[in-house]
Amino acid sequence: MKTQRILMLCGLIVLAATGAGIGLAQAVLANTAEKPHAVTRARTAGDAIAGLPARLKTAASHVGLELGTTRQVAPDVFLANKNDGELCMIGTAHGMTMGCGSSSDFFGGNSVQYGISEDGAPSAPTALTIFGVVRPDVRSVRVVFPSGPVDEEVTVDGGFSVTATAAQLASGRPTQLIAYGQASRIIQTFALPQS
Amino acid sequence: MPRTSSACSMKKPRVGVAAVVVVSALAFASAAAAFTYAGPKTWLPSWDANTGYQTNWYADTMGGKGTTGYSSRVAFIDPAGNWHWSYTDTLPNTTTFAGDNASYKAYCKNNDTVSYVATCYAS
Repeated sequence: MKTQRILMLCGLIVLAATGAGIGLAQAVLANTAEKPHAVTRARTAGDAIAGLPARLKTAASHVGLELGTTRQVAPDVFLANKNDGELCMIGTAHGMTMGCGSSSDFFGGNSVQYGISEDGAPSAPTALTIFGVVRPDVRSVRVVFPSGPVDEEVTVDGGFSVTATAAQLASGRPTQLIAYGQASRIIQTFALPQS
Repeated sequence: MPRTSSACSMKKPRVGVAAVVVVSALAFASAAAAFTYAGPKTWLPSWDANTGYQTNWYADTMGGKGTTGYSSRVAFIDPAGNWHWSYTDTLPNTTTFAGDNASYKAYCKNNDTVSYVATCYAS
């Protein structure tokens, strides 16, 4: 009887330890998945924002953006830390714009973080670039304009940038952003704001 | 943002230096501080806000959304009504930077289809 109790206790301890181990591994994997890959790799000279006007450097510093931490993830698309601990996605196609959020949960459960930089009134933009950063399972994105779709492979750093042509802009604002995984599987679809 | 300038007497070096330090600190604080022009409040879909016209902007932010997923637009608009550096995203803090020193009003908008709490501030 005593032996049985000891064996039962040992079994419970092993089960608890295994469960805790699995939970820890899942937590670690989840955290890793929510952080853009590019911020975990070594920074290179090519990661700096080249040609940034002095005025924008001053403005960036002014809001706490740490330009010494930038990682370029696609043409005109960068990630950088802020001095309050946030992680920021920066677009430089039309001036400089950025969105900032949690560095440990940057995607907030989504497959893509995207931004739309533009010039001109929202009803008739004269220039427009949609850019972003994706989770590792996203292979490509599709930006749907009224005139038709534009497909773009994501970079090895998980970034993308699509600048509208004059003809695409003339057809109207983009309406959807679609994230694709392997074998063209749709992972997530975003309805883009029309105003 | 407007900078403070001053001329301090150097007849009493210690007092003068201290005055320069204080004035510089105040000027820096003035330049560094963003001011809130709308919120924090609940923004219904399409609600927007803007400042008056002013020169020497650094940045315009719609932030404090707390979580990702709420779409905001920020922009600078010149006195002729032209939009510059307009930007939309769904991150908790959405920011655009002024590319020059000209006169603009800072603008922010909830361009999502749902309401959310946020604050618009500029510097």
